Amino acid sequence: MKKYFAGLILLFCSSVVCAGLGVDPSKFEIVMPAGEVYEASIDVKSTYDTVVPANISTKEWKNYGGNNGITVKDWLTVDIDKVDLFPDKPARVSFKVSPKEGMTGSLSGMLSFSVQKEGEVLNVVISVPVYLVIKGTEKPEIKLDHLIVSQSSVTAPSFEINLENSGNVHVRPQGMRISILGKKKDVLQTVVLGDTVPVYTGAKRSYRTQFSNVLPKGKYYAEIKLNVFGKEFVFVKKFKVLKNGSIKV
Amino acid sequence: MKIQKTLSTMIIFFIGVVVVPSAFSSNIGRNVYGVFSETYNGAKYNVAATDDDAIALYIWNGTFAGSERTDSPVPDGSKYTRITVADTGAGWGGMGYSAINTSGYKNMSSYYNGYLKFYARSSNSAMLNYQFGIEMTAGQVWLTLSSYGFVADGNWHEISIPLNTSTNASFTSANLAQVKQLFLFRNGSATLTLGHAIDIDSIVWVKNSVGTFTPSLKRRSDNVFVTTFTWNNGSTLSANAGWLASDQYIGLDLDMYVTNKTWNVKIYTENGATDKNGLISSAGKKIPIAWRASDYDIPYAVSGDTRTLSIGEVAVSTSEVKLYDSGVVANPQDATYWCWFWMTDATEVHAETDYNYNIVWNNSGFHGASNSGAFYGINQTTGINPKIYLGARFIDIVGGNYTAVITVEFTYE
Repeated sequence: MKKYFAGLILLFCSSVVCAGLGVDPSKFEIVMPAGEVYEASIDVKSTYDTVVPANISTKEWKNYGGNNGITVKDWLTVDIDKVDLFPDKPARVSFKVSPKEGMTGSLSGMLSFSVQKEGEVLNVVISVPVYLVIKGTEKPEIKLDHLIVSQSSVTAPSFEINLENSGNVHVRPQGMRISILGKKKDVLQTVVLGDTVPVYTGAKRSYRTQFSNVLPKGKYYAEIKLNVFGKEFVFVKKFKVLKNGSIKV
Repeated sequence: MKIQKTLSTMIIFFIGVVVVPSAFSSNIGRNVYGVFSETYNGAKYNVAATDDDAIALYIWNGTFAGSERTDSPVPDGSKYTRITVADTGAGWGGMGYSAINTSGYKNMSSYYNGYLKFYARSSNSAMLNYQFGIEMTAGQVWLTLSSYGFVADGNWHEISIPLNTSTNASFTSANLAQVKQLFLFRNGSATLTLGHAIDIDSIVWVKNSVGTFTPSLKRRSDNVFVTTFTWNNGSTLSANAGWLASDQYIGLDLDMYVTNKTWNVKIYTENGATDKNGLISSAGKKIPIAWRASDYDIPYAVSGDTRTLSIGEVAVSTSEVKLYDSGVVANPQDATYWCWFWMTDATEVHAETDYNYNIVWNNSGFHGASNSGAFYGINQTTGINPKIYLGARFIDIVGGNYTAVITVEFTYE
């Protein structure tokens, strides 16, 4: 016998047809010692044409493993868990960052604002990351996991740089200087990496960069320089450009 | 009576003209107005002059050659423009993104006190003296790249100028109400040299306010806003109907400028357990669901790009079943493009490096498939409103009421 069931799969229903949320600023990077308190605020805006309550919550993001057992609630607090959002008038939500003794390296959490009216289909969430580094405990350690150099006879070289973070702080490799050196280690081309995503502790991440000029046949060095919390990391790899313009690392 | 009706019509028409000047459009006035962007709606290319967003790129003297390139990194979407000096005969050269709508200008006064922003990259120091600007009915304003944060180091730099009199006395609200060229570029005091090049991307006008991210639920058949998801238009269906797409989709709209380009939009259920990643009945039964992102309405078939809402599944290993478009690939064994993603729950933990299982959209574009690198930029003229389609797997379903909390989250990193 054939089984039937109601075809109307009702997730939720609602009188609200769409909801937009906005925040400013978009992220926080905080370096401070344990035992102190940092206070800041975020503006939250909605596109509803009526007043809507937004739920405020904190979520775990990426912590250094040495902070085992520590949750985001131990250092990131918001005094309220709801805020009314008025049409076209951002609400200011204050929060506190208060790292405790014993915390070390990097911690991070998300401050999330969500709107889901009763019976609404979609839960609309906008989240702002808060990155915290405990001043005085930083032990940056970065390795070059692998480097892929690409070039064709008509396309200038590009590097895919895979970094492994074995330290205790997240590393946003903004400002990383990536150079191509000649046989005598003279700098031929340099690119500086702009604002980008972090490589988290205990993780690897790839970053791509593009150079401007095609390299002729010959021997070269790839040099990658990165300064993290005052510690400089330099990686050098040899590579060859073959007659057909391709690369051998 | 007849006279009164006519009069009434005339009054309404008159009010309409006064309140909504012809230079306004639905895109002008958004928090972010894209001139060259794959993330923000704004100007439109190759459209009729009756469209208030109509724009064209003009290169003067044939001095510059513009080419679209896709090699990463790309600040916004999947392509950027490389401007190369192709002819030095005239001694000077330039280009402009011109308003070609009927009035010949655009009313950009709502961006007064906001910003003109773009990304530029070159390793050629001659580019430091190149200039960018805006043309208004009141005249042109030219600004030199080196004075606004540009460094010729081969890296992308965000250039941002306040659109008010602190930048230039001509940047008044009244003058910005008649903008003839939304972005200008010329060699300035630099000598034109063949082959010199600069890359440009993400040219936008941004208001000085907090923007927003808006997901909305719409019916597939007519794009009308609705409040519920249904399958089979609410009619009874078989407990073994197989995979079916829902009758609705989620439309996304980003109208919030993201400076650092490290943003993404995720979709997931919030049902509280990893195995509740679907529609769940009160008796704890599950209907698995999947999602697919697209820049165009599906079904879609243009120039060999065919997308349907038919979903197929095939086991690719003893532990993994992947999802594909069975309206495009008839034989499951031939499927290699995994354009449907299994829905995951918020509680699911993935490896640090595996971040693509629930990302629908980011600065590279919409997530076309779980295949590596399958993010695609979105065409500004046809509208930057990526859509999320849902599918559900009706196999051996036990009757009941099935629900889920589906979260669409915008976040930075």
